[in-house]
Amino acid sequence: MQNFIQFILRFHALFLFLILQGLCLYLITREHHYQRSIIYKATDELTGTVYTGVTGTRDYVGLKDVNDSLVAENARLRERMLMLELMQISRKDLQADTEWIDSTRYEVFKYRAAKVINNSTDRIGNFFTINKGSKDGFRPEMGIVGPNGIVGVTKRVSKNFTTAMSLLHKDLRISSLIKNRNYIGTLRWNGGDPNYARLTDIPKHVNPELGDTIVTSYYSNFFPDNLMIGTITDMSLDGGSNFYSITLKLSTNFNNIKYVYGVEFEKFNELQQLEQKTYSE
Amino acid sequence: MNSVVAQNIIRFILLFAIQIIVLNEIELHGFINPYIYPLFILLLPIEIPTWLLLLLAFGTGLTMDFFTSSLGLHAAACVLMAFARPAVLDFNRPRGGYETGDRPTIKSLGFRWFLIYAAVLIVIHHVWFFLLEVFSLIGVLSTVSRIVISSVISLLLMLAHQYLSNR
Repeated sequence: MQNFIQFILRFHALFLFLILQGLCLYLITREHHYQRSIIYKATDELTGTVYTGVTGTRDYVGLKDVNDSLVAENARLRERMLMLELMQISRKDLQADTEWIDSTRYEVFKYRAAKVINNSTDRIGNFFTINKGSKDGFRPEMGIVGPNGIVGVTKRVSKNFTTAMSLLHKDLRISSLIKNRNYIGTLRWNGGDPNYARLTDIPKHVNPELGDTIVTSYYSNFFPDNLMIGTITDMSLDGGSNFYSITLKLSTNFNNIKYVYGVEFEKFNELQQLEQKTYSE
Repeated sequence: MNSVVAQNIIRFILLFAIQIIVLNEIELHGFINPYIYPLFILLLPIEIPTWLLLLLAFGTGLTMDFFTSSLGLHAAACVLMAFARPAVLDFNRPRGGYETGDRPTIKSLGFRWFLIYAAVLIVIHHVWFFLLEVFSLIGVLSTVSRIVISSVISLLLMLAHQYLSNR
């Protein structure tokens, strides 16, 4: 026994090192687990408060860019409004067939504005933090949209803050549509340049063209359909493959996202429960 | 002693302020993030006991992790770096050894000494950090276990082939 204690004391640094390294690896691998969310619950509020302070000063510097993007967004909204008015007019003309316009999709989505207070683009798995939390109606797995297109999906929510997986996260997959081909693929980001992402699962016969617009598809549970993602800048058929490898330029500049909207899909829970039941049968 | 503790606490706060307010905001080519906070571990007194060094490194890394939601990544890198520090101090020993009052700074031990000391430890920190970051996306354990298991199976297959074909 004495020998054993002496052995421990002699190599205490090595043992402590192994214990701490083991603890770190454990924390890293527990990405989705309970302990991790408990630890973050305790620290999210603190780091969130620090970041709010940091953001306060940064905001003044970026006011011009924010203004520009708000102006652009206004323009887009006005256009949308005009379109909806037109739709309404045409609907009155077609009273006999009210199903002609599928308005249900629009009614179930609600938008909640928030401000980005922390953001990264330099890692392989990027996250950002926004200044609204559960008390403002945010919850995990909610789509986040910016003025220029989709930005990410929420992950953890505390009372006043929410963290979200950025579109620039290796694990995030978004069902996307090539607009004028009406064909659905999967959008993903593999690290590297934060301005470009990849679209996969587009078969050979679709024939996309450079400059084609990529939008969210109608299969996504996080986003309404037809939201801007980016435009095709490069594509190739890998030798012998039947699928295109497509590179697109993201319409959102992830280095300066400031104001975003959480997309609340009111029937999300109901839909998810139904799908889970179906899959588990 | 108390002034040493106070000095290090102030340095800790200062380095983290620079790290979070300035460096974390810089995007160099979108994929590079410089780190200054490990300097806190580099500058701890030479005679600090290893166990304290390891615990402080763990706490330092964890603090950084909370600010970048990367729980465990920075902590692991810092702990490895701290564990390597005594060995690096030892092999980088100036002629005649360390004297009482020596501190691990350029002012105290010279530019050449500090360059070697800092370079070795920073490389250790960064290599471990980036390796774990890549692994953590798919899970360290699953990656390592996949590497180990498939290596063992491949090896067994090759051995089997050798025995069967040489008969």
